[in-house]
Amino acid sequence: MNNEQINSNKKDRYLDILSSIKTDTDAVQFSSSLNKLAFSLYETRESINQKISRFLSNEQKDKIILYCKEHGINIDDIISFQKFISELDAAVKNLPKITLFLAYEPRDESVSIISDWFILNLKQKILLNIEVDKKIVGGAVIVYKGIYKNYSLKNKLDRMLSENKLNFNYLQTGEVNE
Amino acid sequence: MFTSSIYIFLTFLGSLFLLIFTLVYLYYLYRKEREFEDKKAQIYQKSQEILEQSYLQAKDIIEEATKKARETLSGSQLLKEDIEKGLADSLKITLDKNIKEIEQISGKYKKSYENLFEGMKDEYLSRTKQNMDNIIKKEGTELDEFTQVVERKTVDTQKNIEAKISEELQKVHLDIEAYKKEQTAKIDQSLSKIILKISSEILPKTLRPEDHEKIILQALDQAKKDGLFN
Repeated sequence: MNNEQINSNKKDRYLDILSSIKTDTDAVQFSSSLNKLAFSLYETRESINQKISRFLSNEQKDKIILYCKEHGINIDDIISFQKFISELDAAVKNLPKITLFLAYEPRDESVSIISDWFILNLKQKILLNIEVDKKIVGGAVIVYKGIYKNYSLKNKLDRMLSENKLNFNYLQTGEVNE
Repeated sequence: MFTSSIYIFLTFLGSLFLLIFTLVYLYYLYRKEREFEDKKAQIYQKSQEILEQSYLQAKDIIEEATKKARETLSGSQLLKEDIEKGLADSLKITLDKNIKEIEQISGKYKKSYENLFEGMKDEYLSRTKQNMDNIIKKEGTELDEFTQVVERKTVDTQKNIEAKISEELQKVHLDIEAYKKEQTAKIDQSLSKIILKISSEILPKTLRPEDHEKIILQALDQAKKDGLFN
């Protein structure tokens, strides 16, 4: 098993915990929270449970506790829990990213749908970096691993018009053919 | 006392004399002034009389002159009318005379021209007839050949014309076709621009988030098919 496969397995392992992390902004915030949590572990005023609640959402907290239970990690053991946190943080930082140019400001539901598409179709978590460009009309312009692909409606229309796929015979016949 | 009384008396006499002298002088001045005024009035009256007289005399002279002028004018008008009438009469007579002469002369010329033309006409006809007879006799045999050549030439010319017309027609068709293509391309281009503009402006407004999501997922499917995620 090489390092990439190990990392991939770890990411898969953390898939449930990371389900709420959809965009690179979410990832940055989550990573920051994990770091704060790691620093706070040696403070004695609160329990670890309380510290997790302070820095993470209830959903994330529940998923982490569940994960730790399932994988035999004692959250009260600072050293093992800290190790888990740093692995989780590394997994978040290693998540692949994709830049999507969209024609609208997507609602949360849209972001979830797009993010889920990657899990369903590529079986992996990919962080979304969403940029809004209304000029593209619709669809998406995708930049992934340095490759640029334009699947926008604007591009499609441009292509159709330049390739004369739109036939303007309707001037004589009254019909539009594609 | 006596001396004083004499002195007073003498003074009184002197004063009295002076007073009388003054009054006399004033009266003299008054008389002179009156005389001057009277003379002035007389002169003014005299000048008025002279002016009036002059006016009356001038009026008489003008009236007389006007009367004379009128008489002269009416006399000259009569004279003018007489002259005009005389001139018109003499002109008419001269004109009639000339017309008569011209008619006589032209009659003569007409007749001589008619004779001349008749002669020329007869001669021309006779010569033409003679020439025609000569041609018929001399070139009678060549006529058939000539007719054939003419027919052949006519047919050739007709063919040439037909070919030329056909060629021109084809050219025109080609030109029309090219023009049509050019115009259609222009229209296509314009329509493309319009469609693109309308699409760019209207589609973003009409697409709901659900529609956007659907198109984005289609784009992702296509990207997967294109091997972007391999």
